[in-house]
Amino acid sequence: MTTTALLDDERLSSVDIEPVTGVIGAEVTGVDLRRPLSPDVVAALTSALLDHHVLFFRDQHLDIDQQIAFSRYFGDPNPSHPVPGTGLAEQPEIYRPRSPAEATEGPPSWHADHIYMHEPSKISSLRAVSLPPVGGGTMWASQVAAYESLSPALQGFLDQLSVVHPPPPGFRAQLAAGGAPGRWNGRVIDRLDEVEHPLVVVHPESGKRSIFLHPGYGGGRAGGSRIPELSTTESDALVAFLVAHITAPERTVHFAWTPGALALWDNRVTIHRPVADYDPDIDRVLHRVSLQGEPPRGVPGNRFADR
Amino acid sequence: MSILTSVLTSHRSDIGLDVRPLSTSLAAEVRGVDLADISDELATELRIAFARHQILFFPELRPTPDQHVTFARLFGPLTRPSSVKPSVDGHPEITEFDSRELGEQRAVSGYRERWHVDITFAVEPPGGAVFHAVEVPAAGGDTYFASTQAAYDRLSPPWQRFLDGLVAFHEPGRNILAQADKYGQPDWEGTSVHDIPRTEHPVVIAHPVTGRPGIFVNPGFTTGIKGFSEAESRTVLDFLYAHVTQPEHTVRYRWRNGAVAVWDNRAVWHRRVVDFDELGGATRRVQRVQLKGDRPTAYATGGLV
Repeated sequence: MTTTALLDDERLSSVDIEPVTGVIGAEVTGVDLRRPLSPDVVAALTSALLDHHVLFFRDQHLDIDQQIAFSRYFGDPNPSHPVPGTGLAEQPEIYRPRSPAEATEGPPSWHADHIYMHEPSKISSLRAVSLPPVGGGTMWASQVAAYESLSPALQGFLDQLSVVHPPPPGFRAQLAAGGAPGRWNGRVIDRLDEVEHPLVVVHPESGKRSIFLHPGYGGGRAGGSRIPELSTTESDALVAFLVAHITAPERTVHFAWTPGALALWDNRVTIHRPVADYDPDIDRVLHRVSLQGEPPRGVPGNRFADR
Repeated sequence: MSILTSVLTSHRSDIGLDVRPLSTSLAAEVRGVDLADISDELATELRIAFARHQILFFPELRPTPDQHVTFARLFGPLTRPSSVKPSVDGHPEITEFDSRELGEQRAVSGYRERWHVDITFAVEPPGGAVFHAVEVPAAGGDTYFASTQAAYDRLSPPWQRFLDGLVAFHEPGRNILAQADKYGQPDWEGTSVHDIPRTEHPVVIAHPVTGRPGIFVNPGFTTGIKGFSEAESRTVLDFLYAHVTQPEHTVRYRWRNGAVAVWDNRAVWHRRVVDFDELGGATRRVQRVQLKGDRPTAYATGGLV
């Protein structure tokens, strides 16, 4: 446990960071997120986020404005998606994910937020609004631990590859059909195309290498992530292996939500998914805010090393 | 949803047993047990909770070895605690697993953790385990559990009927045989694990207490499906392994020193999470007692072999 003693509003408080697994996730106590945070507290949280990838805060009971204000300490919010109409009407930064138990197409998919954009979100926060009594947790997986636990030979191979990320088919169709444009990182978005990112990225703040991959949207091969340097069968096999490797128990954490809880994660080094193990008649409501990121950079020698 | 609702309600009984479900598929955390004073009434409530949740966690039980054995007997008669390891001194019912020892073996053998059910290569595999986390790392070294019953319930009816009639082979793998040789205790119920013939169990079993169907193949010891080609077996087993271990059917438990778990091998797979340095400073030392089990019976035949 790391304890940072801080003088905050003339009141001595301490932020405690307690890891909850061996590689990913820490629970933070000793901070009230409804109040303004001192620069020291923000620095302590930023550093903890780099170390643990996802931070959990319980019993905070923030409202929408407080969640946005808290998220702003770590960056500038984007609208919930690059297409309009996906966020709350009054607060387009707030996304209420569809209740995963309502889904009929099989278990929820692991994903990184907005990986299909040239500038994927760097950090997201997620806040419990209404929860089932049991179940409905969220899992995160560490792409840093996934990279570091591969053999050097495979790391060297992956270092030079890239990934094509198709956008969610519904969003793409919405803009293609002449729907109103959206905004992303301050720019107008009137169409969505596939983007390419390096498969292995270098974190802009920690300098650590991590895999940057998720299986993709739509469940089918058309919507799936693919490695353009490889044949389709080679790509399918490698993506399947890497997704299984990233999401193995050694590299994941499972957070059981409690009323008033909030999670803050580094979207550049994690993928996450909800757990749809609860009664679908129960309304599970969470609110997400995502922060503007930059184009992911590859390792030296990768064609995306210098972007 | 009535079954779900009844299983999911936190409950404090008249005699103070506090049972809180941890997921919708399996497992509950239990408080209100005093090892020095367990009445017949409390023992009955514990057995009912065990049948209902398939795993019970007692976060602060801190049993002595004698109390560990006595507590385990509340859930049924015992069998040997391991097919490969000797028992701890003075307690033939208890075996100990130490992360340093496991890490040293792993460094030699390259063994990686797999989901499994203990000793299913036996004709009568142990019915369950009573597990005491003696000393665990501050973070890391959790155990994952998966509900084979919830997984069966969430298969489509044609898949359920397809599986119902099948039989699978179970054998001790290289890892078990190597450990048996290392510890010089290579027998189970009097037979050397080297000589145990390939065992057959139904792919879907009926739980002996509740009658609920559960998938009874596992990645640790199942080697094929009777009558299937190797490619057919591999396809069906790989699908089942991915399906059973979906997050929707699992629970992850973070141990504290002194925590005890009782889990049901007829309904649950488990898997150690090695997300800490086994050869470094942190120690994970756990002790296990095993409950005796009957020969698993097929669900398709209404519980008859």
